[in-house]
Amino acid sequence: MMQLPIEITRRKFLGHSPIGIGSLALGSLIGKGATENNFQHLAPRAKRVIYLFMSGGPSHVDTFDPKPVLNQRDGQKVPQEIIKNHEFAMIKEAQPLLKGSHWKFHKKGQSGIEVSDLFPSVGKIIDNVSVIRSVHSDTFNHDPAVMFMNTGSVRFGRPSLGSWLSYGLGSENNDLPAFVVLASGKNRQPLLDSYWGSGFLPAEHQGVQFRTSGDPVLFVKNPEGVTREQRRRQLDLINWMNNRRFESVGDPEIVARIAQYELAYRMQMSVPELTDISTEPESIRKSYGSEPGKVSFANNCLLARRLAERGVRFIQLYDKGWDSHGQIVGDHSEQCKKVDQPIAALIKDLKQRGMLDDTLVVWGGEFGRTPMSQGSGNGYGRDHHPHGFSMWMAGGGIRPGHVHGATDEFGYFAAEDRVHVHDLNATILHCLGIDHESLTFNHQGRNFRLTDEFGKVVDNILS
Amino acid sequence: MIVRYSVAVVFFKMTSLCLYSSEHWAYKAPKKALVSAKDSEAINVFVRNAMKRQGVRLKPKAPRHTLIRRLSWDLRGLPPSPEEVIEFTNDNSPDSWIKLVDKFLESPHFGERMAQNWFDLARFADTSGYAADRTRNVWPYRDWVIDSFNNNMPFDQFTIEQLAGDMLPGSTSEQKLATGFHRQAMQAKGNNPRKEEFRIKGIVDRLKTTGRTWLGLSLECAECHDHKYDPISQRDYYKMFAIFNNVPHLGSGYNTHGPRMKYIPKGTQQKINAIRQSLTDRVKSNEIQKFSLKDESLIGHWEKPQVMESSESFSETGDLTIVASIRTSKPIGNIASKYDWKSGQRSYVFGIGGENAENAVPGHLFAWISEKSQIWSGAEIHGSFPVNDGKEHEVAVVFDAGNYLRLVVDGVVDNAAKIKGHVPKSIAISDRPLVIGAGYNNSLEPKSFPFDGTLKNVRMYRKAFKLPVSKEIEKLQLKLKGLVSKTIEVPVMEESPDSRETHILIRGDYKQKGDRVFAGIPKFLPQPPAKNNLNRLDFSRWLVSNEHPLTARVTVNYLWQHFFGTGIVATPADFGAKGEVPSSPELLDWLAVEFVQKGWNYKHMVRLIVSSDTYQQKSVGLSDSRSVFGLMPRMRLPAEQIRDQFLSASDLLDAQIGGPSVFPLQPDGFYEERGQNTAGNSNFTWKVSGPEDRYRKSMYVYWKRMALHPSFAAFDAPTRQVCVAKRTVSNTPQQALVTLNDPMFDECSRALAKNLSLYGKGKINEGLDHAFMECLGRIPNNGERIKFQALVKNDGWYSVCVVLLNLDEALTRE
Repeated sequence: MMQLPIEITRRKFLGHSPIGIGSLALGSLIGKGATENNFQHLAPRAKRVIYLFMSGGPSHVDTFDPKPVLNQRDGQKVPQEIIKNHEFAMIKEAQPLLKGSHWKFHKKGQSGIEVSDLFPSVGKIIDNVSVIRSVHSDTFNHDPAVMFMNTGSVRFGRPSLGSWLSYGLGSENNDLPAFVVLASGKNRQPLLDSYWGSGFLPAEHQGVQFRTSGDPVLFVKNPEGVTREQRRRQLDLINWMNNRRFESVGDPEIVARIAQYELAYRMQMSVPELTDISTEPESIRKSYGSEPGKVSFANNCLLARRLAERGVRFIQLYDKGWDSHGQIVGDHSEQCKKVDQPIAALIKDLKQRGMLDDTLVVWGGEFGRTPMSQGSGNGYGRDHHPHGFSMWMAGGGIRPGHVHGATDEFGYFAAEDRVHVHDLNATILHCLGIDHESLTFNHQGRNFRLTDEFGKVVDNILS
Repeated sequence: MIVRYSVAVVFFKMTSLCLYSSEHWAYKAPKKALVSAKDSEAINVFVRNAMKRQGVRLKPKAPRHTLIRRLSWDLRGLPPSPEEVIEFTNDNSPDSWIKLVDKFLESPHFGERMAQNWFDLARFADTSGYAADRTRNVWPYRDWVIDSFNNNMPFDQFTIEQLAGDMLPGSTSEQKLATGFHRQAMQAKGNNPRKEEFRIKGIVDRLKTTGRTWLGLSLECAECHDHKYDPISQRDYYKMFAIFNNVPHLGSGYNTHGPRMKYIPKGTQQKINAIRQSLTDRVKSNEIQKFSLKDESLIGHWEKPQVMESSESFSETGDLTIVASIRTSKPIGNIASKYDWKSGQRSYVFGIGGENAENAVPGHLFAWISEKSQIWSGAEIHGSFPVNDGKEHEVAVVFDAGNYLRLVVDGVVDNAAKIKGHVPKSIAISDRPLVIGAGYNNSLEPKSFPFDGTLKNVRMYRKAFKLPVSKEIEKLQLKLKGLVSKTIEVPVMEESPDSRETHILIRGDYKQKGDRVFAGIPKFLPQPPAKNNLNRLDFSRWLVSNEHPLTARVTVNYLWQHFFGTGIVATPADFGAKGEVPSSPELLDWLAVEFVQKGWNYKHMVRLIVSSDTYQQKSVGLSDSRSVFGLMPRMRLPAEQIRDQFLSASDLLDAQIGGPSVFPLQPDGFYEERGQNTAGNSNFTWKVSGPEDRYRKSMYVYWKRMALHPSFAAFDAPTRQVCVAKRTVSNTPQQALVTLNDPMFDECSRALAKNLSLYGKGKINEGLDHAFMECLGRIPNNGERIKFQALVKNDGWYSVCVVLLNLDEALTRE
């Protein structure tokens, strides 16, 4: 008779492990990072970030950077000395024409910061904001530029800002990931996983996408016909078996796996509850313009607040559809209409809850758009423009009602108090209490950081 | 923190002192230390020595059911079948282990498992990357790698063919296919001013990949400035850059690409050959058509190339048949021509390779017939397969005015031939004299496109031969046509005849050109034989020269990493000054030298390692194995093996090898929400494969770089945007959600439950044995049995399957 293989060796491993189980179990259960890698050396002003990413590149000269001279010289050729040696993604003319803004700018709030008609609601909360009108980037194609903004490198394989924060600060919530991504908007430029990838950092630091239709987190629902009680019984036996395995072989990974299965089980409850924005009071939903069940930027803003409340470290909202090469008048009107009200509502909502003090809100895209038109007539648009554009920040650690830097009279180059992408990222880290030069990870024998070998904190926009 | 920092500073200073030192261990050729033991014991001896220094010993042998499972995962990427486990655990013969090793080494899944690792280095993926991320036909390259491992192609040849197979004298299409390795670099849409920038990026990626895969050097550091730690200057970098800088870069927009090759997938080619053979056999047995010399319509007969004196003779305007016996291996050569299109003297021409014109297919028959001489108006036909195979063929073109134009090879009509234009009612008159065995190219002299080879028994008939075709033959020909249409274009490497100038790019900026440089190897490495223009072929041969200090070491180290989780050098892609030092230099060198001495024999090295006691130890936790060299770690299975375990246990697995990539279940809306399916951008949508492909092994799942299947990504499968020397192994809640809830996995749990439902009430124990054997390769012990019996009673077999497949023991190679 054949013999069947049976597991007979089973010995108590407790106490034999070279490291000791107690500490290991704890280490993997709570705050990855909170204990292992704390890079917070400065007094933090913000605990978390909500990053509103206008994917495709919003036009600065039509939103936050008024340019009277550009308006006056509308239709004239752009001076040759400005654009010499410059390439454009789409514009083919040797000397394209300047194009003033279709929209009027008005002084807003007590600070009197000028904002265009595209952002009436944001205009009302502008006193909370530091507008940076002198941001510049190194690259002018979408995916490298988004990568650059997020990872400080145009190359693939580097960790993004949210992953760096997850690695450097860990999570404040044991039931949720530290880095959550939300997407909305119309399809134009695809979003790539690498935008929220963890690069060479351990994969647990990568962004997790929460979806507003279908499963809010992939596979968070039990398969059809499986009840929560049934799942509990399955998990109980999985845990029992895994524990025995651990006692027999002493591999701490098993303890970690038990913890992760339990966390998954808790997420199955907490995530649907968290993402169910229909439980918000109607007044709140109305203020955001949110309609539960739809994929919308408004819903994502509301969800972002709920995530922030629960201690998610980095919440990044991608809104697609800003790449207005043509029809910018219609296109940007539509985009801004979708985002203006929810952004203002988010700021107000955070403020009302006392959360704006320790939540950093960042607004911007991978670049701005050319002060020259692409195409002509009513169907004109604007091309990619990394040489000078606007972003703004509000909340934790940011000086309210302030304008930093300026572009030249055409809105072409960042001219005064220039802020490079690395400076921007250094400033964001600073607000979270991290010195950007010391947040490093050794990979391939070299210490890498988000800001490469550059970056200077923009003190002027700090409160 | 402060302490850590200053240690780093001190360390940096220390390494700075030995900067640029060629004394670094990795740059000196490895030498075999003397071992007073048989070769089969050498590994154990070195490992025992290394362990002794750490104050530990080899662990005892793992249980037999663990061993067979370990070996099966490592060599085949699949769990052993219950029958295999039982057979092995009951085999008490002294050579049972080595018999098992040899059996697994001969399994076709061996090549698949080795290839899986190789593809992380080769950054193999089905899409082009960047925003557009479009499909390209790279799966034939994937199958080439699998076959090569299965056939145990010597690693030096494996290297040369992938880096420079196109440059080997008389290279075969398989050797060209192999060069797909360096066409895996990502390629962006190229219609903007930065087309050149993206071309440069592609070469930067080739260098990085070559450095990591063969040299164990982080070459990429020297792209913008001299390497800080290793003696690679920026100039050295661009000298190596020059080696890869000579590949054509064509097209624009989404169509930007390097060279491509028309390729008939190997399986298809075999089927084509079989059909063609049976067609020839049938024709022979039927004795159907002979182009007889006695036929009254014969108007000419030649036994060698020659030119007619008068242009008026052979000015045929109606039905026409030209027949010839040929034997050649050249791609281009005319058989008969009265056709000079550049001079507006068109009539008819028949030959091989289409005069290298626009629609020409080198090596294939062609014919052009025009009813107007000044301008093109007529039909061109191109054969569906090459006839320049060095064998004798009787070939013919048959023109039936206004009706048809056909090519005939060895008595069989090539029904899969491609026809363009319309079959004219008549043939135009040309004032070029008929030439046999050459053609015209804008000249009165018929000196172009000479037929190089044997050309005899050329006959011309003033009629269109009717070639009677039986239903059976017609059917075969139809099938042939279908197969031939499966020809695909695969990306390959090619060398431009006029070489590009290479300049140092200042700070890596493609616009800022510095000094011009020429191809070369950094001075700290052994130099290849002196030569003016070092090319890719020279480079690849240099890489695998027997004295090379790095290639063999790096390769055996990757192999060690495969079996032990961590390499002998823990930084497999960095053997430089900042890399880890080898845990056992003697072992690394012994293995490297052995590898080369045995003719770069890959399977030999695998066999050596897995037959050692070191490999057969009882395993320990991964973190323990990292701190003590020589221990065997428990390792969580790679993403592909996790799914394959589910498929295998549930008997759903379709284990066939190779072929186009497949599409298992994926969450609805996964691409849509990222805008990956935008028309005009992406050229593909995820359409779930039918039952024939849905359960194929995971390595055949469509690998979309910019949106990898989320369940693979959850288990650390790399996107393969860049070369990955070692996967991270994470342990996350998402993984639990995948194996518990992803429909792709749940489907397997349900299928296994269905198989188990055969075990009725009185047979629960047998059912549990079955389930345990499928999922864990063992049967339950008493304590487990009681628990699982209760679960069956409470929740049925489905829950049993979910539990077993989600156990750490199932997800881990122990």
